[in-house]
Amino acid sequence: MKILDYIKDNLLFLDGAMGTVLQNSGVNPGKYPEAMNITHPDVVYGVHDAYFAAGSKLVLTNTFGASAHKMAGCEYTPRQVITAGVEIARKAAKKYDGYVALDIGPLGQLLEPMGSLTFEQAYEDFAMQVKAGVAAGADLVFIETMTDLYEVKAAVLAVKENCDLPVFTTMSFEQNMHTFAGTSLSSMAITLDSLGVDALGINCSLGPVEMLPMAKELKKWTDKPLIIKPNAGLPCLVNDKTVYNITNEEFTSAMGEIMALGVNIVGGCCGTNPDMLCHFFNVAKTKQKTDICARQPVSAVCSSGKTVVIDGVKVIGERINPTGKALFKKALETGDLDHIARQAVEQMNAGAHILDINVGHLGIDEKEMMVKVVKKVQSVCNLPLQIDSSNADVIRAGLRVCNGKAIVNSVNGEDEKLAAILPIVKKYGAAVLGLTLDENGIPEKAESRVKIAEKILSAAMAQGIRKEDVFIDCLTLASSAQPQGAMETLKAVKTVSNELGLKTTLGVSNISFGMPNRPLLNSAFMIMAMYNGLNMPIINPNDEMMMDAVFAYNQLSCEDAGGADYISRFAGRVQTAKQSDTGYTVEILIAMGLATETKQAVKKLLETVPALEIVQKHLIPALDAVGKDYEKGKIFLPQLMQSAEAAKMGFEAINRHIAATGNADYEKKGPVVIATVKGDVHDIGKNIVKTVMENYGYEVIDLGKDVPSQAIVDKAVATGAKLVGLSALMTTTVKAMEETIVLLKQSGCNVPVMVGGAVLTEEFSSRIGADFYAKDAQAAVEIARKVIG
Amino acid sequence: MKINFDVDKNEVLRYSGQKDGKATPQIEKLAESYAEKIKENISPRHIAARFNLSQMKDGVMLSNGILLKGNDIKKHLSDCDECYIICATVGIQADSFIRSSLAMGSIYGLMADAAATAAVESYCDSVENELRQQLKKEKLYLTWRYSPGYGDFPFTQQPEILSMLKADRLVGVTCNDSCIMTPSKSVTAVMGIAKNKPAARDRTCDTCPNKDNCNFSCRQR
Repeated sequence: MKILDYIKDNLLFLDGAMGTVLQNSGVNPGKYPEAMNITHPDVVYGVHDAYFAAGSKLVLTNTFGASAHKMAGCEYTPRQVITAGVEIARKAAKKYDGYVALDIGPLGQLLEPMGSLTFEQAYEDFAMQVKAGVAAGADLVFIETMTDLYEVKAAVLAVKENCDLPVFTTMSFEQNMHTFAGTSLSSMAITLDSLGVDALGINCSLGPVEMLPMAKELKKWTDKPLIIKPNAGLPCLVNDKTVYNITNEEFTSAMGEIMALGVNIVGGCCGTNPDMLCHFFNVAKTKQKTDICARQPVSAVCSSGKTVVIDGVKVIGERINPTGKALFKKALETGDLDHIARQAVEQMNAGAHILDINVGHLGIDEKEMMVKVVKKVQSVCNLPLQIDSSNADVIRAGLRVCNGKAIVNSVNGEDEKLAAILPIVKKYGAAVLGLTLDENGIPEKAESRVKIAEKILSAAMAQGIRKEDVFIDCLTLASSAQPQGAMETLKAVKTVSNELGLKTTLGVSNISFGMPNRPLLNSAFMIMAMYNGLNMPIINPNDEMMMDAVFAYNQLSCEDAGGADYISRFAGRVQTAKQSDTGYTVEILIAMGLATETKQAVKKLLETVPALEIVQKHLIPALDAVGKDYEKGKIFLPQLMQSAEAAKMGFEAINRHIAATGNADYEKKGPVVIATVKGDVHDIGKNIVKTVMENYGYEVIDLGKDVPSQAIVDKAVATGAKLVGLSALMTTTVKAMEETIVLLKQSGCNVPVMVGGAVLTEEFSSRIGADFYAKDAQAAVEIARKVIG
Repeated sequence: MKINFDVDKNEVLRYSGQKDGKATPQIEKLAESYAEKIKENISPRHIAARFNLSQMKDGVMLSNGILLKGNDIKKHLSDCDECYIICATVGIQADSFIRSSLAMGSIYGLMADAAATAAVESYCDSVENELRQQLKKEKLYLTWRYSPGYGDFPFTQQPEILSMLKADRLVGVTCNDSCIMTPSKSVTAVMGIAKNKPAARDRTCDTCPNKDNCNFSCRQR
């Protein structure tokens, strides 16, 4: 019988700890316990056999750490230990008619953005393990003890795309109901449920008592079979030994409560042993499998740590989109992801619940850019994302690297679109937004739009997408062009919401196109729409008036019963006068570090003074003055940086002006390539240098942190860099700095190198072959002036 | 054990590079707001394990067979038969918070980073004090936190220390090949357990083990 058939009618008893039992076998497992599959197959066999004898129906192979990184330095390859591991388990299983799961644990390297391992590389590593395990004859794949949902996603995709075996997945949670990496129970359940794993749950870290409330929580979010595989109580460190102190009786009794919730796949993790599990299984096997479904249909999306349930009104931020934004377009053209990251954080801070991501722009590779932007946005903000493109390849690429459950924006009623995009939505476990238009355009009448919504819904459900994951956009038309349009849209929203029972979304601001006082029309229309059932307005969350209206609506509609959110939003809000002329000069404002005011003052100057003159006669001298004060010790780093940020806002006003008027840009000097070297993850200092140098008109190409030597050399050569700046903060990473310098010199690229970072000194810098030592950002500018001008 | 700790605005200022008390009101306000914000963006955890030790020629041998190398750690533990080794962290959320702050501008990244450093240091102070109070009941004393990288205690012992504490599994702290820890605001340290009250810690810059690499206000360079 296949394992999935077996679990339909039976409780499934898993095994317990492998490591703990191996350690007690008398053989020291050493650094590579998986190597015992080859060196001590009999010992490993003995562990499997003992669990089967204790009542386990499924055992996990001894391959938890069989990844390329963890096995580095071992005389056996991951493939060898996996093949051997599966064969040993198979042999043991045969005797008991049991099942063998290929065990996959964390790779042992942190994924981006916490670490440097890319999602794609993680996928490749897992795929290698899966292929080896499948070839050796595993019945299923068991991904366990994970703490990073992103890593789990890579592993699940690696299973699904490389074999037809079922996949079970568990993660390890702490008592705060989150994993170390910040994944929440709901996010795990929602994401893995939609990705289509066959069973999911929790293992390790905690004992069964602590897992009981977690099992209850999981039940709310998924109706997949649940797995609970706890430790033998809470681990406690006594000297260097991890000690667990739960009794067999306590374990059995706590597990009984968990199983009463309808958890049917159970076993043990660290600290458990065949004896403990035998005690437990002897009691558990007298019970019947109970199917209790606690999940109510709920529309929800999530990032790794944040779940957004679509009840009441949830705001989708629309700012990550180049349409009508000159600076954003430029950022896409130059690959300036920092500009986009700021848009993301601004919207998050303004209260957006979900962020739309659209990077469609002529002349750029939209697919490649989508991947970069999704990764960048995820690295700075924890909101769920909405992947916005008309191109199926772009959507696929964006969904693939998205951590959590996203929304796809969008499909419409065209058969071709539905056929191209819905399978992608299903595969990657997303929700989908359907526009009520088709090959004949946007129907004028609400009834026809509802018909299209129905069509989209049935096409989605035919693909196996849940009804609650289908959202409908009834489309906003400019009321200046279509005076009846607003009412038709509202009518459609109401019907889709009430009669089809679907969540709805609307891009709001189109309503006021071509009309005066657009903010008023926008907010009036949005309020009308919310009253008619609009759940997710797509708006600019930085627009205070729109966000205020959402809070007011939620208060009046009792979504925010008691008005706590409303009150906290407005309590203490001081009605500030509109930004006006402070009367100070740009120089003074920069010295004071007033960003918004500097921007205003520069805007005002732009009315009468050419952009270039403002840069040369106001901004740069202001920066020089602040820089001198810093050198003299009159001011310190925070103030220098506050002034730098203020100046940056001034430059932004200039750049926006240039982009909008099409005037010639002022000339950028450089480029300067900067990076924090391989192995080092400190980037605050490097970013400070970047900010200050950019203010001085240098084109800074920032390669980020933990950058391999070769990547720095390649970039320096490819861009014809005039100066390279390297940062390292630790004695252990200065070596990588030295290597990079050597490699640069060898490449024949004669670019001067400046270095900086906490452990460096002038003398040390010259010893490692650097041309310049920059003790701080201001010094870096002086060096650039010397080298480049 | 429940550890209470606070984040002091002045420490945030100090770690951000403000070398005297004359921060502008705006910088003060910024430091204050980050001292508050960081508290919502951390999940502090620690492990403390107690080891017997013996003095060796080139360092201190722990009861688990691991040698802590160097003369400075020998000196730090010279009057001790036991020590505590701790690993404390404010969690990966702090790193996310620093990244999102940095996205809004370098000044915010700088402040968030300083606030997270202030938080982990303050947390360590509280852990240290808690252990000291517990030892009082046994009529024992605790020296202070001595970390890999101080003096000649090699920074490269970080992986061994994390591994002996099972820091990966118990508190989620790992380190890369360059011995840099993730979450970045994590600390490992050795504290001696002494039968006699240790001489008051001489906390001047000249005796500071980090005197050559210090960027902070105590040392005007």
